[in-house]
Amino acid sequence: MEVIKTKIDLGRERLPTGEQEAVFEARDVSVYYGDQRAIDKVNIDIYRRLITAIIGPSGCGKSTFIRTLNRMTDLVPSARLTGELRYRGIDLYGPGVDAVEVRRRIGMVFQKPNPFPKSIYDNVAYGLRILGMKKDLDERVEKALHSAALWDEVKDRLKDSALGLSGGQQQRLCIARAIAVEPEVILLDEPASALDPIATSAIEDLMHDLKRDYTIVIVTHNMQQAARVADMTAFFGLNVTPEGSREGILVEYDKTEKIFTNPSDKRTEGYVTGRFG
Amino acid sequence: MAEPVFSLRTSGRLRRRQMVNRLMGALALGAALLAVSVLAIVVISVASRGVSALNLDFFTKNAAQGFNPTGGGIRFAIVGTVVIVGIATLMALPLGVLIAIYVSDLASPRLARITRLALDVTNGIPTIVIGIFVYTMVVATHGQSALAGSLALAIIMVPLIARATEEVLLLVPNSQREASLALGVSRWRTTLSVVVPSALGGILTGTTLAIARAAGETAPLLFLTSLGTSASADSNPLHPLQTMTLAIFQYFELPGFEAKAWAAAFTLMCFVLVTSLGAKLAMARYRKKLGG
Repeated sequence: MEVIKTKIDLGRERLPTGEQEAVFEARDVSVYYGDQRAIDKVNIDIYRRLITAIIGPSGCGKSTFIRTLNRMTDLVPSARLTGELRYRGIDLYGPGVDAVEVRRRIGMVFQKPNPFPKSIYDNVAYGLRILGMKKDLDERVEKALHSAALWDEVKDRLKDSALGLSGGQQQRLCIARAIAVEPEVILLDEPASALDPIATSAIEDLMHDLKRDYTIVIVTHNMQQAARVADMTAFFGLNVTPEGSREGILVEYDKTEKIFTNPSDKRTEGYVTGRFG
Repeated sequence: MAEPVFSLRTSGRLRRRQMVNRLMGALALGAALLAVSVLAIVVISVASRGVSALNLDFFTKNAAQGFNPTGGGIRFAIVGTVVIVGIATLMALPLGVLIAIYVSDLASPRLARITRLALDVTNGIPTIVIGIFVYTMVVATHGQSALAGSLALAIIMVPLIARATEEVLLLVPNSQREASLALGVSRWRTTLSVVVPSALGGILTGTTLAIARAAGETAPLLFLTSLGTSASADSNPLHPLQTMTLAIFQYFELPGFEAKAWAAAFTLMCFVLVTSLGAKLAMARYRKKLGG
C-alpha cells in the first residue's frame, strides 16, 4: 500500500500572505476508532492566519481530522491517535495537556447550527461567563456579534430566543459564540452545508474578515466554496486496504489555486474536475 | 371482455381467518375496556362513599381523640404526609439527579448499564421490605419518627427520579454538549449549565410522579412513623407523624368511621390522580418540545 506523504516546502513567495508560521504540524497522524483506522499517516502544516480548506469525498476522514485539532475526538471513547500533532510547538496529545484548555484556544463551529436554547445575548455570553471573562461583558458580546456580521440584525432583540433566528443567523451566532472567548484558531466543520446559498455567501464573506485575526480551518463538501475562500487546500482521499476497510489519506496539499488549476496528483485532478468522488 | 377465471371474494379458509381476526380484535378491545372500567369503578365508588364526609372541618381539624370520638379530621395526616414526603423529596431529588447525570453523561456504557440495572432492581423491591430495613437500621435504635418514614420513601423515590431524569438527559441533543465543550468549558460545567437546564422540565415532572407514588405508599411506613404509638399533633419530623395512608388504615378499623376513611381515601386518590396525570401531560408536551 502506497502512502502519500505530501511534505511540501512552501517558499515564502508562494504563500499568499508571506507568512509561513505553522500553527499545526501533523506528523504521521493516524486516528483509529477501535480497531478501525479512520485516517492514515497524515502529514500537514497548517499556517497562521490563513484559511485552510479540507476537501474530499464522504468518509475520507475530513471531519475526523479536524476534530483531532481541538481534541473533540476525545469525546469518542474508542478513538485513539498515533503519530504527533503539534500546536505551536506543543504536542497536543502529550502528557499533561488538558483537552479543556486546548478547546479554549481552538474553537469550533459545527455542521448544524447548535445555539443553546437561551437568548441571543446569553448564547454569546455563555462561554465568557463560565471562563471568567465577565469584565465588559456587554462590550464583548457586541464585539463578537459585530465580528460575526450579525449585530445589525439582532441588536434590537438580544433578549429573544436564539432558536427564533434563521439557520444562517444561528450559524453566525455560533461563530460569534466561538470568537467571543477569543480563541486563536477557529475550526469550521462544514459550516454552510445546512444553509441556503445566500446564508452561505454571508458566512464566506465573514470568513474573509475573520482571517485577519484568526487561523481558520474549514472542512467542506463544496469545492467551489473551498476555491472561493481558502488560501491552502488539502485534498483527502479514500484508500481501500487489501482487507477491504476504507481509510482516509491526505492525497495532496497545496495552494488552493494550484489544487484547482494544476494539481500534481491524478486523484486530486479527478475529484476537482468532478470525474469522481 | 373475458370472464375472470378467479374470484377475489372471501371463501372457505379465508372466511374462517377473517372470523378469527374479528374475534381477537374484539377480545383485545374488551380487555382494554375492562382496564378502563376498573379505574372508573374504583374512582366512582371511592368518590360516592367519600364525598358525603367531606367538609371544611375534615381538612382543618385534627383526628378525633378519646373513648367515644365523634367528628375529627385529617389535618395532621395531611401535615404529616407533606412533611414526610417533602423531606423524602429533599433527600431523593439531588441524589436521583446526580445518579442520572452519572449514567447519561459520565459513566462508561458498561457501568451505566450496571447502574441502570441496580436502579431497576431497587425499584422492584417490595416496599414493605424497605420498611423493615429502615425499621432495623433506624427505628429499632432511635424509635419511630417521620424522618424514618422519609428515609424509606426516599429509597423508593431515588430510582424513579434517577430513571426519569436520565431519560430526559438523553433527549438533550449531543450537539448542545459539543457546543459547550468546544468553547473550552469542562464536562461537569457543561452538564450543569447546558444539559440540566434543558432537561429541567423533565426532571420536575419525573419528581412529581415520584412524589405522587410516595404519597400513596403505606407499606414502608407501617412500623416507622405512627402506627402503634400515638402520632404527635405537630409537624416536627423527629416525632412520629400521621400520614394520609395510615389515617385511612386506622379510620377504616374504627367502627363508625368508615365514611372518614373513604373521604381520606378520596382526598388522597384525587391528589395522586391529578399530580400524576398533570406530570404525564407536562412530560408529553416537554418531550415534543425537545424532540422538535
